[in-house]
Amino acid sequence: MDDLQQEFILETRETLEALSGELVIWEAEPDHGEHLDSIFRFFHTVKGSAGFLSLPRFEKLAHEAENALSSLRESKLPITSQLVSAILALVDRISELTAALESGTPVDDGDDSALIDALKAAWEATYNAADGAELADKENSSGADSSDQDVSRSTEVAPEQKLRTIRVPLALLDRMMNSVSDMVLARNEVARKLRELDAAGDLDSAFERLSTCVGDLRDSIGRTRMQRMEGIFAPLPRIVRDLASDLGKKAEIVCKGQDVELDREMIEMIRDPLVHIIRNAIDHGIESPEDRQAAGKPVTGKLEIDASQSGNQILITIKDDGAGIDTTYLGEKAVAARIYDRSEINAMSKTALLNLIFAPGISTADKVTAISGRGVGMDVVRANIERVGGAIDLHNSPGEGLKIVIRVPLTLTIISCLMFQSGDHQFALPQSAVREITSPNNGQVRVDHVGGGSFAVIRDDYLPLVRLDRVLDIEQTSEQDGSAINGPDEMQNMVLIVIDVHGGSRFALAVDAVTDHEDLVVRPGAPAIMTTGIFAGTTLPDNGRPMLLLDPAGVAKSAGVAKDIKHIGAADNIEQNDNDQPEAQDQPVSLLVFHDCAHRKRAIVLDIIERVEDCPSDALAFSAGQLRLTKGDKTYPVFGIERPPQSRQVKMLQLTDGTTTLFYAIAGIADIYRTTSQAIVRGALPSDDNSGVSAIIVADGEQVEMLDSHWLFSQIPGTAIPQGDGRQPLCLLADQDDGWTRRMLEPLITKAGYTISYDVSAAHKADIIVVADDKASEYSNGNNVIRLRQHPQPESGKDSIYRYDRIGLIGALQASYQTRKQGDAA
Amino acid sequence: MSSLYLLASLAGREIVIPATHVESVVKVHDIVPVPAVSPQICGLFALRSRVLTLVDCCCFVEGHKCGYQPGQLAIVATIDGHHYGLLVDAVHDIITSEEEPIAATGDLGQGWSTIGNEMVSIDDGRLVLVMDITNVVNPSQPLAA
Repeated sequence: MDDLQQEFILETRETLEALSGELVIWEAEPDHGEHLDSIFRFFHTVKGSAGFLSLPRFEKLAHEAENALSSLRESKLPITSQLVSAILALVDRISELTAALESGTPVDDGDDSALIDALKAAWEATYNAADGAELADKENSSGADSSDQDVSRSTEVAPEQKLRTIRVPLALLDRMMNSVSDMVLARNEVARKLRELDAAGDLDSAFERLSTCVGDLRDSIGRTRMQRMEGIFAPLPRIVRDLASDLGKKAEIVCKGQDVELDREMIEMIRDPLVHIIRNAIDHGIESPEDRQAAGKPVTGKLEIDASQSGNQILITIKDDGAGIDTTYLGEKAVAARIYDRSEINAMSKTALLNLIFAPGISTADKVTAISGRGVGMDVVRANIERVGGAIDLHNSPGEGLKIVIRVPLTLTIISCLMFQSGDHQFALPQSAVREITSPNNGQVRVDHVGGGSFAVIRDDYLPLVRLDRVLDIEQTSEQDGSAINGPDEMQNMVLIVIDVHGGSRFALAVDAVTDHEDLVVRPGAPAIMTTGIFAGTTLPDNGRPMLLLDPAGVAKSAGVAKDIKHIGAADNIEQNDNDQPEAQDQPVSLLVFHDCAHRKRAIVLDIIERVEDCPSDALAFSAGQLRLTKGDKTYPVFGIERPPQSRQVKMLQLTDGTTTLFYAIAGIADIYRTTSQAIVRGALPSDDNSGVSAIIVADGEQVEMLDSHWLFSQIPGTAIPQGDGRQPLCLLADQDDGWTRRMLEPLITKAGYTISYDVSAAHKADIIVVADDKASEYSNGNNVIRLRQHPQPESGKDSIYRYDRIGLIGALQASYQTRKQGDAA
Repeated sequence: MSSLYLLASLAGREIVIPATHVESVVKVHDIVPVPAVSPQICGLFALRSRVLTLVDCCCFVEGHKCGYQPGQLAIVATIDGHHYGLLVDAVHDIITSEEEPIAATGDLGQGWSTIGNEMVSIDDGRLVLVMDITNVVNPSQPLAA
């Protein structure tokens, strides 16, 4: 009996979750018989089971709802929202009763008759509202309709091809997971022992097989912990509906990606933030129906939520078509809340202003409602998401809506970590926070002691230096804990880990040694450990010794690096201003000095180098007059060598100007040289303007050719024609049906930097019109019309260009555009 | 109604722990210290694939870190989903008491009141303190670090 009841509770709860979405859709599309059917089925099932288990309250409620729905189905009356609300109320009561039944707590013996009366009243109202004539109409056709319905229902009854599943208690799954983890540890220990033994080959291969099996088992057990996003999405339509109707707004939600799977614990962690964002979107984002009408938007606001998997991350996008965020207003609020003063707000970028919604104590709601507006919220949302190793981004279009993108790792538990040593302690850091690992004795890095603090000077960055052993008060091993505290050599043997704290501040963490890199299963630590704020969790690496995971933000806070929340977004500037800049007007410049493939010493500005990499020589090929490198499905121009080299690999600098990427082949990197912009300007000029060298400077007593990066990029076709004002001119090609225009002319003009249009009706919008000579009569002899002729010989009296005269054509395009621009200006 | 208790000793006194809370008793051999944490947290240790937080119960009584001896016994318990090992001096027996625990109203001394505030009579009628594990792992009066 107990088992049966348990089964009933589980089944009812699950159906309820799925149903709440169904009900809302049904309200929106009342004619959709399917939704009505599934709701009807739910009540029917509850009624049946409740009767069997003798649960009279369930039975009564379900019975009434079933009655109402069935007469609704027969009469074909239009559904009113009053009726939907009444039915929702019944669903809610059933859900309350289910919860009470489950926990064994007694429910107040409240009378359900009020609810049932409300349903009846709603039903009456619906019935009366229906026009008599309409009713007769419906009744006439009802015979045919109901037969339709029967057909549709009979098709539904046909057994669906479903995945066969069984219910397994969570506790059992967790126990399995633990056993498998134990097994993995045992395997590792056996592996260690085997290595010590130098065991015979066949034992090794047998163990290898066992080891693979254990690995597979761990993977499949891991998968049992995954849950579909459906679980989170199902209640959302109901939340949206209820909230919107409370606020007198209209809104609907579209969910996509229900099939995406996520770790069960992760689902629990993101459920609340997601609901909070949805609530915000309806409360602040979606405007009132009147405002929406005035803005020319559909009266019903639209929310879109989309989940997708990308690598080992899940992307959840929440988009609304509401008002977006008014950043100016947000700034005012921040001033009013005395979080920032006006000058700080004025100095902020749009993005920084937008990110103010994550600052504690700021709300965009004018009045506090039950739903939101207390100014606690988005900061908590962000904290929650970041706690599980995720990130949240805003894309704001004022007047058009807000898009929020949440990225969370696939599983809560496995984090890619860097492991390192400080004193006798081993710690781990999430790899995602690590920007760079360097050492004070590699020449590029200097440690300066300023007052009682230290700064790492890495290339041009001044970074606060945090000694982990000091933060954690760890005793140093004997030889390092010498007398020379803060002495010049003291830090020489340490390793600096440059850490990016989310939100902008960056610091260098000094540790004794970096030991390893591993994917670790991280669990939250005991409260006593988590309250220190320095640790993010505990983990058990393969060696079986527990390890603590550091929380980068916590370390920064504890070391006083991120003392002031105001520095977020402007951290770099502030760090620089805090320190004396030796030559304020003269910008420091870092150069990468290298040997090019002809073994000349050359230098290039470090900033434009995206990365240095070894590329296989067979990815290089000479095509279309240029040596190119194949990478993925793209090709990039290669400079610095004439033909693919004999060697198997070639070292390349990947250069970028922000939009275009090219590669420059080099023989090897020599050094990084720090100089100033003035020194480069003062350098001797090359004798040949087209040599690709912009200046000759003297670095450490040697002549070095400065590579002219501007010249390099100007060698790439397509970037060679500067259009000046940043806008792509619109070029109308008037012969839209002509194959030659589409296949030959369009690519040429697009490459030259023009936007193509074929919309002849919008000719007045075009900056330039290009048309075949024989059709040109349709266009006035405006100076922005370029006529193309078929034959090389010009016809007398007609100003036209031969259609294969590229230089002439491009020239004419530019000339027409310039004239038109001047005409506009005048 | 009879209840099962684990009889152990801590800082020279006998205490009992309700057996329902006790998962197992293990010897602790290797711990990983946790820096910058309240003094009663001795460190972390691994029990098969689980990471347990080792609590130095004696620390509450003595008011300073007592540390642990390799091989010392710890009582394993799970509270709010976190796994703990509670260091004790010795574990003696499993005992049954027919009596209900009663409030220890007198002054137990500052440290001991964190360990527990109820006592129960065992065997020959002698009263012993009942350890309140939840309060030991998350003390309502935290120790200064």
